[in-house]
Amino acid sequence: MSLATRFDYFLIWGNGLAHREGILAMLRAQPGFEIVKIQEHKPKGIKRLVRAIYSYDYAPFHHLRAKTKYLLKTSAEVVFIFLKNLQPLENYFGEGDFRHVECERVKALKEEIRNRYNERKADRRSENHVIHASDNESQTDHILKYLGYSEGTDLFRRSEQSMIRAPYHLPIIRSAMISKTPFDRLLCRFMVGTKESFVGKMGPVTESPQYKSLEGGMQIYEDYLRTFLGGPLQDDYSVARFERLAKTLEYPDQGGDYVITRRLSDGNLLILDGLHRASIMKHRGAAEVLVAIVP
Amino acid sequence: MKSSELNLDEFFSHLAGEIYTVVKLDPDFPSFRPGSDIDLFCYDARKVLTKILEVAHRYANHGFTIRITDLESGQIHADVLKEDNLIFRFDLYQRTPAYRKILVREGLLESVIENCRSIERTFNGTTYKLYVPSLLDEQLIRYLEFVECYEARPDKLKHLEYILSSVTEPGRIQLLDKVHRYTKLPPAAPPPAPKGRIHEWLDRIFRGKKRPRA
Repeated sequence: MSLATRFDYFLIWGNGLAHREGILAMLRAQPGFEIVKIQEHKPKGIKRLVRAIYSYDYAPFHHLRAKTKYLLKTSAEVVFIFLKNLQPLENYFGEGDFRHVECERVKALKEEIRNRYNERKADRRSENHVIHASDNESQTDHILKYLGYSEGTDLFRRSEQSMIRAPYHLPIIRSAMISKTPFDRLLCRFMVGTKESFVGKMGPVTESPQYKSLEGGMQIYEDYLRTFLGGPLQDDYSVARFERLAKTLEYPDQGGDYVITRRLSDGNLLILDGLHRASIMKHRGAAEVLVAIVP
Repeated sequence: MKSSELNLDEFFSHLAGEIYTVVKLDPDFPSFRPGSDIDLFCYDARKVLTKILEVAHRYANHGFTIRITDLESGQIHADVLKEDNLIFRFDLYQRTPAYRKILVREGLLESVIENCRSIERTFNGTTYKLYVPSLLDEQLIRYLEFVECYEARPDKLKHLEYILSSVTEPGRIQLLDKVHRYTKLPPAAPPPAPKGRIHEWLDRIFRGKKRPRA
């Protein structure tokens, strides 16, 4: 566990969802933040969610009640963006009951987003905020548990124990075989359907939206993300990042970022992580690719 | 690419800048017998593993398989295989190895790394430094290895021969000092306590044992 980093979250309220892409772009552009999870959430009631969010807040509840009144009129649909804060700059803010520790960088970015996207009344920024952000990691931990992740922020830290670089949603990797594998033995999983009704489909890399978009245009990938990002896809995918990766990928890179696979009963390998990289390698004409096979 | 084409100098030249020490270096290095291993003490085994893998990729691209295993005791194996046969193992220790027959202080690994010396070697026309323990630490580690394994593996006698051939008279005292400083004999198991009459009765009741005849 690194003491120099912490996990924060930003929450886009219902009144800010129209600006989701703009807010994500602002978060991605900020050095020192690494988005680890994007999750859409439809609470049973907005009141319940507001209580959950602010139950770990430093401010007195009567203050929060007034402050959050406008939220009760927003749609009961929000987006959580969890991120790794690589350079937390913690400091004390506020006075008396309001005194609390907060990361200066998170606070500054939150204000920047609010300045840009909060509703404007009489040419001034209203206090009907489009976004909320965590003050400290215990709030992030609390919210992850509220969303059903009993491990809290340990969910994101467990991948640090893996022997090779792996996303948080894979089990800790304690052993692996690294070898070259022909593409015709590789299968991947991708989503098909609509935002409301979807299923995971297994097929060769050439059937994936990632590969198809490299061959036939990024609109395919853009539509794919618009449909599934925040739902079944929760890693930080974006068209711009994929395009950049397609141009610059050196595989395998110096840090050992492998395409991670698991062997299926028929001997084929299912990609668990690294479909974008595998698609790029296939698009470049490779017949085989180096993969890590995990148990 | 044949298994004999695995070049250990290529791996260790790539470790320049990393903190490690190769213990019990084979005198025939960089030659090796298929299936053999090399032990490295290091502070950050994952970092060293990453550097080893960066070289291993080239071999993986030529038909070798790399197997990595985290033994979860501060020890990592990076194995180079060809057609399921082990060609070579990098045995990375981030903690002082645990011995069964002798207790060893945790600080030994740090002492070995901090007191290491370097050997100049060449790979592809470029000189690099290979880090090995000081003579004293090498003798100490080989002594531990000998004590631990000589009953089961007669080939470990080579470690004793190494110590006897390399130790000098003043060095002998230093070696004993360091052995005493970093090791301790495990406590002997106490003899089983004699059973009292109450235990005999319980045995008879619950285990059906008969009363011993006088």
